[in-house]
Amino acid sequence: MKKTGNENLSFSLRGYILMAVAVWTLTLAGSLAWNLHIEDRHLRALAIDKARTHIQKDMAFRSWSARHGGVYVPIDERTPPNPLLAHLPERDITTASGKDLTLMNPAYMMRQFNEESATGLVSGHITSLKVLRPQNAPDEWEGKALKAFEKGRKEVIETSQIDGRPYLRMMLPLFIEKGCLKCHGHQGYRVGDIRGGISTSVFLAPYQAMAGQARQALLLSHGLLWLLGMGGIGLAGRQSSRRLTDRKRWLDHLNRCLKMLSECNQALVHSDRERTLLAKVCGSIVKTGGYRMVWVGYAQQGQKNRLVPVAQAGSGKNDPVKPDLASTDTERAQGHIGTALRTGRPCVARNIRPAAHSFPWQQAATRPATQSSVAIPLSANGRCLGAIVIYAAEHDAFAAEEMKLLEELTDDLTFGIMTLRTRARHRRAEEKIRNLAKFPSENPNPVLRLNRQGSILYANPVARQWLRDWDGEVPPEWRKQVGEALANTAPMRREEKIGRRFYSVCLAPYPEGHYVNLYGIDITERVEAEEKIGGLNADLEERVRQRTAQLEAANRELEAFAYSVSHDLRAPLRAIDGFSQALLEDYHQAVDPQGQDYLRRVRAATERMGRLIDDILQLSHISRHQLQTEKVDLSALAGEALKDLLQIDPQRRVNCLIEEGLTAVGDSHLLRVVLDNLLGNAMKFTARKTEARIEFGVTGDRSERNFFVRDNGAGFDMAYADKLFLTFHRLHTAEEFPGTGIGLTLVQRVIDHHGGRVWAEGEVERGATFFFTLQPDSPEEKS
Amino acid sequence: MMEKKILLVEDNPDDVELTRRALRKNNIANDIVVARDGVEALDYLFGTGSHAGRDTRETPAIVLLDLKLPKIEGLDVLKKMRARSTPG
Repeated sequence: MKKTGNENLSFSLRGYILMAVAVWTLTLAGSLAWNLHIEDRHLRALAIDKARTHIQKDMAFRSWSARHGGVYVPIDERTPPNPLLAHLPERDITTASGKDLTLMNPAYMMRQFNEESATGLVSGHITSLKVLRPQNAPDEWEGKALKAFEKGRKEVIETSQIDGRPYLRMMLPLFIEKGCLKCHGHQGYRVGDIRGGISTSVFLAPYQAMAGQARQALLLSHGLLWLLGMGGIGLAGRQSSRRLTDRKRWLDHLNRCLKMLSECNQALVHSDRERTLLAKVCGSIVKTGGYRMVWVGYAQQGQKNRLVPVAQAGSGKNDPVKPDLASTDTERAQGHIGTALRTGRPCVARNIRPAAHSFPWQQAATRPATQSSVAIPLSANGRCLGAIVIYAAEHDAFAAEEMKLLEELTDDLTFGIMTLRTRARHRRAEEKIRNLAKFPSENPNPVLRLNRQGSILYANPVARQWLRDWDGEVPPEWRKQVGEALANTAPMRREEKIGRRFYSVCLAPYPEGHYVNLYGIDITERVEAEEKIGGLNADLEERVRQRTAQLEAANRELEAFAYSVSHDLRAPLRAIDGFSQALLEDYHQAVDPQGQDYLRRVRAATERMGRLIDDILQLSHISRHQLQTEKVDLSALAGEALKDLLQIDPQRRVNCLIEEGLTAVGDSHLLRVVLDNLLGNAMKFTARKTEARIEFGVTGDRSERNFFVRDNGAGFDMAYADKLFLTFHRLHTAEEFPGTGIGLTLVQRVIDHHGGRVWAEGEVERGATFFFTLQPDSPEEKS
Repeated sequence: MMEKKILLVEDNPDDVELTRRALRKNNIANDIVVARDGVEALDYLFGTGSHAGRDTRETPAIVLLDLKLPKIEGLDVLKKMRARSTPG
């Protein structure tokens, strides 16, 4: 299209030039023709005039002659007497002096006159259709002219060839006068009749020679004039052509811009994504608009003066757009992009060329063949979205009309971006709505909406099973529930069997909408499981009951067994001890000191074994003992235990410190066992101390009270702290400190039983502290 | 015999011997009747069985009663003794 337009324009210019040439040529040709014609006519008129003069002279001469009835001339060789006048008297006369004269009639006289005056240039001839003298007969042309006279013609003029040479021939008629009748009266003429005619021939060659000269002059002058005109036209054409080319180029450019605008508008209409739109517009600007390069940058949120390129076209791989081109926070603020962003108005940078003082933006913009650039801000609703930056290869691109188009394009682009964003927002919103709308239908649980009357407003696919179960109509009891839910305005929950399945249904009322949403959950499996569990539980309870009975029986058996073991084991021990004592006492003399030592060892061993049996019995007793919890005065218990211990060994001097009023909830019997063991240990391990001190007290806060028994006795190595509570495990030999290795196990068992914990701290020869906690109890325990 | 007897209910002969020695050592010279089980003890006390015809008015000064006994347990023996003596 672009090319065709150019051709049209040049074609029309050529047309104008051709037309001017044609008009000029025709004008000059016409002028030449006219001048030639005028010249022709002029020469002809001259010739005619000459002929006429000649004839009139002849006529006058003849008329004079006729009026005189002829003249008498001397007879000579050339002038013999006219035989045709023989019938006249006095044809020949002799003068008085004897000269012979003969009468010359006018015609004869004319003939002779003409013969003698013939110059070759003009010749005259008198003739008639009825000549008396045959020599005077008319030629062909004269004959035709004479006949024309008879028809009334007054004059005959014609150019004609005589002997192949050009002549202008003219003939005038001769009328009969009175004098004529003298000779021609016998031919029957009357006065006034046409007797014949006088013809004249003017040789045209001299005239033609004159005409040729004139024609040459005319041709020369016209030719010069034509050439002059053509030169003028040529100059004007070239000037016009140049102007036209400029104009055409400009129009082409504007056309491209318009086309670009149109393409951009099409892109606006057809793009459904912002990036696509920007890419198309950029492409159009470079491809159709013919610009060197273009890029679009978006302003950063919060960083108004920074552009991030989002689309570009026209830049090669070697000159990628640099986003910091538009940074305006540095000296780049001087750049046209920065100015455009700052002012919100388009800003043109002309004649970009690498100068010594060039700014970075200029260097960046001075890519090969970019000479000027414009930055147009994209503003919508008073907000600057970014800018479009266009580079042209020309120095002084971006004239006013072009800028108008580019600004229009920018406005359209901004509008398009905003439209797409709005559309995208709408699309997202729609998507969201669509997605949300799918929720109830995708719900694997039944969802139903009923109005106040119990009519179904909505049922999701799963809920349609309910409708089938209800035979398409909401049962009355459900309608009642709906009414109640609306009246209460509070959600209600029901478990119902619908069809063959059980559902937990929540009725959520929306009084303002006059409807209730029913959300069901299929709980059939749960209900069935519950039923199954119910059965299993009953079964289990029965089994537990049986097992408990078995266990109780076993416990009883065990207790009986333990008792009998203790009893039965004790009996032989008692015998061993008793008889050993009897031996020592009764047979003192019979047994030597070593034997007595052995017996004492036997007794010591039996005593230890007895204690071991007691402890094992106690341990087994604690394990199966049901806790009898009550409020226990630990301080009092500790006091009693110490008192008992001191009674066993009255010689001991021990400094005892018992914190008053320590109470706890627990089994008093078992707690006494704990205190017996801990205080017993303290007594035992302080036996070698001169200043024994035993303490019972509490540390820690109310949430966890740590009771402790502290002594300053033998202590222990903390490395073995974890082995203290192991059954039968001892840190001291029986010789150092007697013991069964069960005492602390007992303590731990009891404390475990109470839900507390027990631990120890100690140092060799610096004493030991045993801590224990009991279940945290109600606050009243302290009172 | 003016001194009352001591009834020792004990099935273990070692214990019987040790008891006898303990009493002797403590200068208690009363006659000691030994019953080897609960039945025998009750027979002695009530003048039945192997002790049929014994004068039951002659009651022992003290009854040393083991609890774990063949045939009738010590506690049952005690109950029966109480049952017999209370109304009388």
